[in-house]
Amino acid sequence: MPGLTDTRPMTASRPLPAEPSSTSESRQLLWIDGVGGFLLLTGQAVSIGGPTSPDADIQLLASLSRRHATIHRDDGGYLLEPHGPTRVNQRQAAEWTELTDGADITLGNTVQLGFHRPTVLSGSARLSFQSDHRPSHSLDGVVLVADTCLLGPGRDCHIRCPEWEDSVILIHRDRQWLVRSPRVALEVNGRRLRGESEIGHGQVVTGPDLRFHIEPLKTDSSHRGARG
Amino acid sequence: MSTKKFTFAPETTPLAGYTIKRGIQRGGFGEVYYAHSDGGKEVALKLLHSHAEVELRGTELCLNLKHPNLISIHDIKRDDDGDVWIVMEYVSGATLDGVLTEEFPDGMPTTEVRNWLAGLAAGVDYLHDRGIVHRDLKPQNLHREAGQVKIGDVGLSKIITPSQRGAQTESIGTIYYMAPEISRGEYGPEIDVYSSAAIVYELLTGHVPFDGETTAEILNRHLTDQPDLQPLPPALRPVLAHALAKDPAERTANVGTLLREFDAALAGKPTISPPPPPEVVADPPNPDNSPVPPAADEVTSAGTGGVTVAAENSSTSRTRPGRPPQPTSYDVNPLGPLSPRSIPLSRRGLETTAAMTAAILFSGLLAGGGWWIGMFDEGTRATPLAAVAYGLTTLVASWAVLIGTKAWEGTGTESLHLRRLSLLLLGGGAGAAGWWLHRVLLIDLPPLTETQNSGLVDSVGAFELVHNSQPTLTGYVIFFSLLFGTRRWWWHTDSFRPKRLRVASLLLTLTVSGLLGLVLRFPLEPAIAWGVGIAVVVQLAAPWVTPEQRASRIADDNPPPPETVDAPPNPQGATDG
Repeated sequence: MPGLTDTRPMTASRPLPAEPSSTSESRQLLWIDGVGGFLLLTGQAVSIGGPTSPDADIQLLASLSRRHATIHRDDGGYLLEPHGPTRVNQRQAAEWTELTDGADITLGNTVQLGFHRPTVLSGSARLSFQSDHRPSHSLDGVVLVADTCLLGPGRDCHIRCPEWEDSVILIHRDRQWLVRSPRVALEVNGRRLRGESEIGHGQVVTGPDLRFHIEPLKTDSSHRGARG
Repeated sequence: MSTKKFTFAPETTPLAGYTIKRGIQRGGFGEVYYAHSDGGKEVALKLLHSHAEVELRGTELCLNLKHPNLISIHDIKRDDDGDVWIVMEYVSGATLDGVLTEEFPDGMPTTEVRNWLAGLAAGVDYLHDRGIVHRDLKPQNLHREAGQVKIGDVGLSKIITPSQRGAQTESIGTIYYMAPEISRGEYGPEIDVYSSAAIVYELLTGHVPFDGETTAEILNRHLTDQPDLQPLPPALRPVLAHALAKDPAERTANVGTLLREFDAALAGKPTISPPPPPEVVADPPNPDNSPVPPAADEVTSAGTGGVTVAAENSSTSRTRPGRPPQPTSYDVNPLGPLSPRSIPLSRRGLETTAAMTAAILFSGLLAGGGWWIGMFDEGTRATPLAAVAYGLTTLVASWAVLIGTKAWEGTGTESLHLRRLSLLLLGGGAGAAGWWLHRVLLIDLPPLTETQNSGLVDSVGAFELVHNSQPTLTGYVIFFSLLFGTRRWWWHTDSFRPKRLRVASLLLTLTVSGLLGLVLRFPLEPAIAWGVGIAVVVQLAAPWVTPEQRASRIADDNPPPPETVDAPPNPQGATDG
């Protein structure tokens, strides 16, 4: 992927402080015009649970236990730790099961997730919803962000945007979200972007044929309706 | 689609109570946004701009329709600026258009096509049953969420009443799926059948049935060209020819019938692939239903003046990228005598008796005609009784063929040996009957020819084939047995035979019966006369179904399957919008 070679070193290759997984910064919703809505998770550990688990990073409307499984990022790879009945590629998941590109994860009897590592140039991975179980709102996927999240037309992007002309890189660094693109002329809230720029809630990124923005996932339990 | 032209920014609330999260798509009729209501309900918001009046009138009528295959409309609202918003159910699945482009650029397997067609049929037939025509069916309007097909843009529907039919002068809808009569301003429910068939065609082949460089060219092809059925699985060709008929009156009655014909055609799939018989007609002829070609100016006016919507797409070819369509493993043979199918006992009995009755007439005509041209003048005992004996023997033999083949009709290729064996035995019986008739009526057959005086076979065991230059009982039995056992008579009598009467098979029967006569020392003239006579009588007497009607015949004989859609959950890529 052009432009990727000059990104920062992978997050997983440098020591990271153990992040608490529920800071609002670590869970963002990414809304892309014409493409869909995605949950971006930056925690080293991502927990998956059912509707009775308000603290789970991915809370699915599905018959799952409160904490059904946890996905850990470790040394640039991913390990699944099952707490409830879990299969990976149709086989009972061991205590620590390595997840490789294309793995099928079955939680309980019915929930099916796909695990994807579309490019080796980034430590990030994507979870896709294979069964029709979703969070309380429709989402089109979850990106486990190690360092970068690639948006673009190619198959090697974490989020495929088939009608875009070129790719855009979201970078998560020092608890900040940054955006840049080697080829696409981007604007953030109407201002021409040079190099890379921090984006926060309420800032809309636009290009000649694209538009997206991120917002923190609301953790306030009184407003659970907006949970991803 | 260009995303930069969405009017409203995310996180804004142009319509009170709804926060826009992202744009979904922009189309000819407006913009669609994904939004959350203040209470947390996710909805699709459609902002109308062009054609707003047409669409609004339609949606008001459809506001309270409920069907699992239709995207439901929650409400119609006006914002502070007076713009109209339609609040709709949000469907997260990919559109059929996206599925085709991303996953099946060369066409889908028939099982996948069937899943889409089943949902489409249920939704569209529900609309038609309520007097509403969708008018804009196209892959971009079809979604699938959790295995359920959802039809969108129901708002374009119009009430169909006789007075309103044809009143609409403006052509709307996407041109690739547009029925020809729309250019005459006709908007009956038949246009949805045509669009559905065009969609099914595209799903099977990966390209639309009629493509062109300009809107006018595509329109013209809808009006005058017959669809190219070659890329389709052969069994489905008559089904789609029926549903894409130019004349709405000739077209498949509704989408549910299209689904049943589709299923029936695929049910005709042979379990083992038989070698195609040489006489098979490769392609059923196109139904001759094209109306008088419209005058050129009519076409032009429809292309330039009437159609306003699809112009933006008209220059892009609808052929999806990738290899040209190729026959794949789901190809099936056209419906023919060896297509397995279930035939109710009542129909089987009725057809057999009707054919046997008709055989009396044709045998009589044949014998009378033979008498009239002097066929029985030879020999010492020229008498009308010779014609009677010939006719009766032909009749009995034809009955034997009809009974023996009709009993096995529809049983496929696995019963071929049994078919032959039963015909062999029935032939023996017919031969015995012929021998007995000629004994009772005291009729001698013409003498053997010179070459036959030294036949290859004189006797079977202790039984002579010829005695006093007349065939013995054994001679009759063996001749008719072999005549019945060597030809594939089911190709003469099956309702699904390629043609009603095939001259080629008559010539083949003539040769076979002549050879049998030479080998078995059976008098040559009667041998050939019986072989050809039986072949003519059974083909004329047995009922015949035209290739176009075969699928619906099977559908008639087999009650429609339950309408449930057992589609597996649609695996969604994370990037499906």
